[in-house]
Amino acid sequence: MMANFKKALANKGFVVGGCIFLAIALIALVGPLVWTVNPNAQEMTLRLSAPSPAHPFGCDDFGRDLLARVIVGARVSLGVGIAVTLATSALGLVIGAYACYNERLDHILMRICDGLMSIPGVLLAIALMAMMGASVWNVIIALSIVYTPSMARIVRSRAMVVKEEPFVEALRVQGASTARIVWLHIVPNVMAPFLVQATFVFAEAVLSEAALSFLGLGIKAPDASWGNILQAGKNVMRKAWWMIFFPAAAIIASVLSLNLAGDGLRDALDPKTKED
Amino acid sequence: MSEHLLDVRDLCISFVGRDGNALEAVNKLNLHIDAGEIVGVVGESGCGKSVFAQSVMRLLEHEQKMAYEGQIVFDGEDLLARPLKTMRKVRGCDIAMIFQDPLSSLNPVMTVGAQVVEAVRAHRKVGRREARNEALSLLERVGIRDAAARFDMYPSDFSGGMRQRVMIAMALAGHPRLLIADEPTTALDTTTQKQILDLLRDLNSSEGMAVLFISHDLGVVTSICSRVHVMYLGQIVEEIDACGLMERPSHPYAQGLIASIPPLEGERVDTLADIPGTVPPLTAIPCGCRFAPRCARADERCRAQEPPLFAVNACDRSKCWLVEKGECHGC
Repeated sequence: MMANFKKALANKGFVVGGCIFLAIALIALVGPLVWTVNPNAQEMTLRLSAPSPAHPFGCDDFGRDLLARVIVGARVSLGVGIAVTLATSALGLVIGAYACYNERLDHILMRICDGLMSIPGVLLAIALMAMMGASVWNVIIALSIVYTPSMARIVRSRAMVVKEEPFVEALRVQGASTARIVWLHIVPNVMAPFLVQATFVFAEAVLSEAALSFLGLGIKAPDASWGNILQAGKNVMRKAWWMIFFPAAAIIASVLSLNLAGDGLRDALDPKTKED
Repeated sequence: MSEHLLDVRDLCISFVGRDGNALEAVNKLNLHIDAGEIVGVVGESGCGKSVFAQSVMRLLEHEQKMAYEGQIVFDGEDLLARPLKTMRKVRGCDIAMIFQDPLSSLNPVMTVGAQVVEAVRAHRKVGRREARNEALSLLERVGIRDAAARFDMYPSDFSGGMRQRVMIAMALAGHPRLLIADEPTTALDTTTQKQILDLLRDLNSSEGMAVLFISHDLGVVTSICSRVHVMYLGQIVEEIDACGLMERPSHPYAQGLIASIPPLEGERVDTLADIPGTVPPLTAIPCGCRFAPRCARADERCRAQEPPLFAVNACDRSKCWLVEKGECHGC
């Protein structure tokens, strides 16, 4: 594992992506402490004012400081991303690991996963949000339901391969119980594809949250999220480019950095790219 | 009751398919091992020797529906009568097993030391420190030099021979009375092979651990075992003491196997002797003597009627009609 970590650090994509993402996360975390402007304070005289030293990102259609709103939006977007990634990882790991050891359960769980995966992700999320109503928690629940099947599939397929390795039989010969074999020996061997998939789920969750908020099904105004700033900005796109540019740049930067990091991690953890 | 440590009586092992059809892999196998004895089983690939070894541990039932007949009596208890769930208490504790491929028999993402510690703690409740000390002494016992320094290394840092030593150390952790070695030296080069065989022989004599040694390598088997069973298509066709196997095999199959060993000395031969034909699949087992279609000396009776295991002398047995006629050149 240590060697893998070193290999990941030698990968340019992983390092660049990781650094950009950490920077965004840091801004989301400490930004509101440094830039203390109230993101919800309306100043009608400043409606749609262009970027200036007092308001570096300009102001929106209610005269609210856009920088403050993008920073707060980062908290929401990344918060949703983290929560969805954690929920998806935990569920995917448990479902995938159990599925590989119980044939009947495997059939039931995988058919449910197939069913969920056959519906386009955003469509499924929209349907779930329409059912549950718009709120941050519902966004997290809906996106977790959308992304768990692919995670469970990846864990299961890798676990199926590991399960056939001779060392699993060797453990059985030593009298190890199935639970011990699965959780202590198979699960650590599943970590590489699992971690890579987790970074992609994170990126997709950020993107989907923005999409849902853009469509008015996610985070509701006046709470800021990158998606609903874009939504407000699209009406005034010709007059106020900054309303579109800054939240879009934030979405692109975070999704791109996560994908870069995930690709780098995959290359680093893939044993086939070991010696080069 | 039986005084043997392991007494296998009339064991038949079948794989049961999804459609309910059974495929018999081992037929009427009789074999016994006494405490402290090294007994060998040899045969070509697919003759059922590994299936037999795994059945003693009842490993196959976890993956596959199996049907057993006969008995596998270990220390007076029929293992086949046990509920599968309680086999865990036997595995590693009374009977341990090592495998052919030491390269993949260790968990690649766990340190070697941690895996041996786990094996130690699997059978006895001991503290971390005590388990670590015992693991260290086990590693030293199996000849890993500088065990303390290598304790926290990963399996990928170990050579094949060292990994097999680690496997043996893990097998020893439960102080088993029987070790099943399923082709333990096949994946190793000859020098390492010799070292591992020496280690097994040493453990056998010092700890009194019986060994069931499974291999396709006649040389290896005769060098380590006291008695050897030759298997063909799921049946034992010859049981003979190890020295006798090379000198006076009575079954034509055993003779064929020995004749096909390339000579190390003398003039180089262009074509090696072999046994004509191939091992038929389990779905097309010939009637009569199973070896008859490939046997140069087979006659009508061989093709029609299955021979019993004849006693050749006090301890050797052979499943061939020639023995009855007194025509095999072993007797």
